[in-house]
Amino acid sequence: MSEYKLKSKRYGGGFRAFFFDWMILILFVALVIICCVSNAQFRTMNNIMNVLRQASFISIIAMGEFFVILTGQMDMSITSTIGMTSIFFAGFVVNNGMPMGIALVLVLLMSAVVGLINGVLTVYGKMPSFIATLVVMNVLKGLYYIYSRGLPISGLPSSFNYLGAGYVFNIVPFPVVMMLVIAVILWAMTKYTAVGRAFYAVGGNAEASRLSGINTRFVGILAFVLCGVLSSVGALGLTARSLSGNVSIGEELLFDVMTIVVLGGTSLTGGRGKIFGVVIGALFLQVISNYMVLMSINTYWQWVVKGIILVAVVLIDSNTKKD
Amino acid sequence: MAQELIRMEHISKSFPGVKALSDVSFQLNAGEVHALVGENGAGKSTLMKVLTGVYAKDEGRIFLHGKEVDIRGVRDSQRLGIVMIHQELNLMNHLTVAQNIFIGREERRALFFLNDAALNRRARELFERLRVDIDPTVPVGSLTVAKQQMVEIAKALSYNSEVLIMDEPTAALTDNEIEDLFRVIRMLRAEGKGIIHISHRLEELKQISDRITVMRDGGYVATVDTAQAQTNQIISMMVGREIFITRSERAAPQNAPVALEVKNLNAGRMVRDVSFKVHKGEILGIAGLVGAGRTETARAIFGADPLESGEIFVHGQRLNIRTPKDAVRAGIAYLSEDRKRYGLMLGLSVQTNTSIAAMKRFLRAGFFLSDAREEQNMRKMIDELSIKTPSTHQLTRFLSGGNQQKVVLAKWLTRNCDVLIFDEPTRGIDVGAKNEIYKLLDRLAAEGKAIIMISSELPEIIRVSNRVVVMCEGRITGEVKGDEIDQTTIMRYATMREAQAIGGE
Repeated sequence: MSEYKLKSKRYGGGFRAFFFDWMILILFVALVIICCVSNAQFRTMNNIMNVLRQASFISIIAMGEFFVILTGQMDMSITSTIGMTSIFFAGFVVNNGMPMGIALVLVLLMSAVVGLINGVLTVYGKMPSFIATLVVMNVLKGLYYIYSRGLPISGLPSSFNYLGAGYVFNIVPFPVVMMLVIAVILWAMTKYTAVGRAFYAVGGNAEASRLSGINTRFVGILAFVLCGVLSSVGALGLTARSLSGNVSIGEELLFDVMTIVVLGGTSLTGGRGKIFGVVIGALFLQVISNYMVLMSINTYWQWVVKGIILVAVVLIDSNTKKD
Repeated sequence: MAQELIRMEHISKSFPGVKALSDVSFQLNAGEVHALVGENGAGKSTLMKVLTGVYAKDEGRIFLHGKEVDIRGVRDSQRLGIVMIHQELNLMNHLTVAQNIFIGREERRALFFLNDAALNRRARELFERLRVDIDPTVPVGSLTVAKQQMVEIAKALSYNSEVLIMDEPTAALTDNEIEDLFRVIRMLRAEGKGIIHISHRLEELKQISDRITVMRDGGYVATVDTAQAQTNQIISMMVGREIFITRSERAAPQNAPVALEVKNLNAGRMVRDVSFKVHKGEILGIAGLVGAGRTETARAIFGADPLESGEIFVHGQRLNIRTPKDAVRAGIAYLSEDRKRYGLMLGLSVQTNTSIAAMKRFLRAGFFLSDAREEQNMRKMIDELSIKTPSTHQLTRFLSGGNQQKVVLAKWLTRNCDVLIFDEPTRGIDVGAKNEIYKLLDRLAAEGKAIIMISSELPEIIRVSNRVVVMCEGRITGEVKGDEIDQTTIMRYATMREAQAIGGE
């Protein structure tokens, strides 16, 4: 019937859209090449594995934030979810003598509840997510500072260290394997399951999704729950590296997480983004930090450089016509 | 010979890949209402955007009072006294009427403090001149669309404009409001202003315009005196071929079972005690003026807005529909008039949009979405509905209005919905695509779907419906079927207010 010939597949929007979608990958490859060529220390196997390990936990946390941003919301409370996980896990194990497995499940559940509260306030309470999660962030912080009096709790069993510093086959850091496994599972979910598709639909047009029979409230809340749980998983890894619970462990991570998500090509207005974009975003940021350390540049300059990167990416994204 | 205000000569304008205007000329006299008509994409808006400086022309010349002018931006055109009132009004809802009119050029006291009293006084003078009753001190958001339009006109006059361009000014107005608008337009014409009136409604152009210019595919077709123009002649110039609106030949189904029945629905002020039935294979038109409660009724049935009371039966079974999800599960689909807002995810592919309401159908092993199955279904839909898209993964925002509408339809057909509610299905799509939609509706009904069509265009209702219920102020005021369906009967019911309806019973 239609005289229009269908092209076999893929890229709606043509080469430009393709290029834009994967621009970060191209830039990342370029960055790695420049770093490798210009610095002998950078290209050692040891250093590269180190970069990968450092990027792994923050990218797991960023994958959580990714889902919230994908649905068009924002979660500011991840820093507190991380602090809460760290201090309560250590507290349960060290102070209460709880087996690590049970403590682990317990803190993951607590983080899911935090996500649930964020989701309910936003979806049912119709609060702007920025405010709802900012409130949750502060209340939570108050609670775990009361619990720990602000002090770190050390003395976790050294076997727990494997989670943060172990190696698989004596070469690949365990956190990297964990990050890849989680990324593959989440990627498959976004691409091949109905609920994964629904995140994109709700972020693309929430009202149209609702009128298509999608349970938009469930999807909205699920995004926050995923964010809570994944932040908690990342926090456990960070805790394992130092073998102590620390309230301030997540306090500086919010900015990096936001940068990573945006750097990975996720639209801040929702509906567009890729899990592997987030992974590459995390690696990108970590390579820059690492390189600056190797070049003995003052750490404070990292804040300046990361700020410039975030502004540049958002500027490009906001001012590129995608139609 | 009337005095010439504007002359545009040999205007051309290209966008990447599209020639939007090619060698178009247009002329406007003082004291004239000049209508500009054409299908969507004919280039009317582009031409007017060139005139107001929104777009820079590639070729051609513009003259004002016989002198060539160089218009490089909206500020230039405003200074020259050319103002366009867009279809989507550009007003700030939270500011008052007077603040809106004088925004950016407020009077000040002592260089610094705003003088609201002076603004209000000057706004009042403008409204007195227009003889409309609007309080300059109320927030614009509290006014009806018709009154907001008057505010825009007042704003245009406050710039001492000589040329007023109005884009589809009557699209959202009731008959009385249209009368009022026309009165103001006639008054401005008598004052010697030139008015360019862009519209799809040919009937109203006959009432208001002096000359009509027809455009097609970015080109100029003809200019005719309204008094001598025949409607059919104008339509054929617009589409480039003769078309006539004739009633569908599809007969009403005989003894078909009832697919959807609603009894005594109530939802807010706009849905009051509404009851009707639709049979399998039938097209039921819901007619009425804008604001009669038709969309609200559809949304209430679909579970999009809460229902206060009433019963809904689907295939004879009473259902409790509280969310769109319940409605979809019962096989009811709603195609909103505002498809971009309520029907589509423009940033996602046509394939995703098509499968989004029926993802379960495409699951492998009960869990994984199968891209291959989705694509197979999409191709089938593209074929059946003649959707024009270069690929199944094309982003929906790149499709034309008519094709976007078909994607929404494909979504519901994919879900196997058999009660389809179309709310203004042809709004904003061109004449050719409209005909295709009518044929599609006919075919769907012939296949046994039950169809409800809400439309403000009577010829459209008359053309496709087997039966028509008419609403006014949230109530059903009448029902007509078969050969009784005609404009006068429907209009009589559509204007039957509550007092008359009750008095008539």
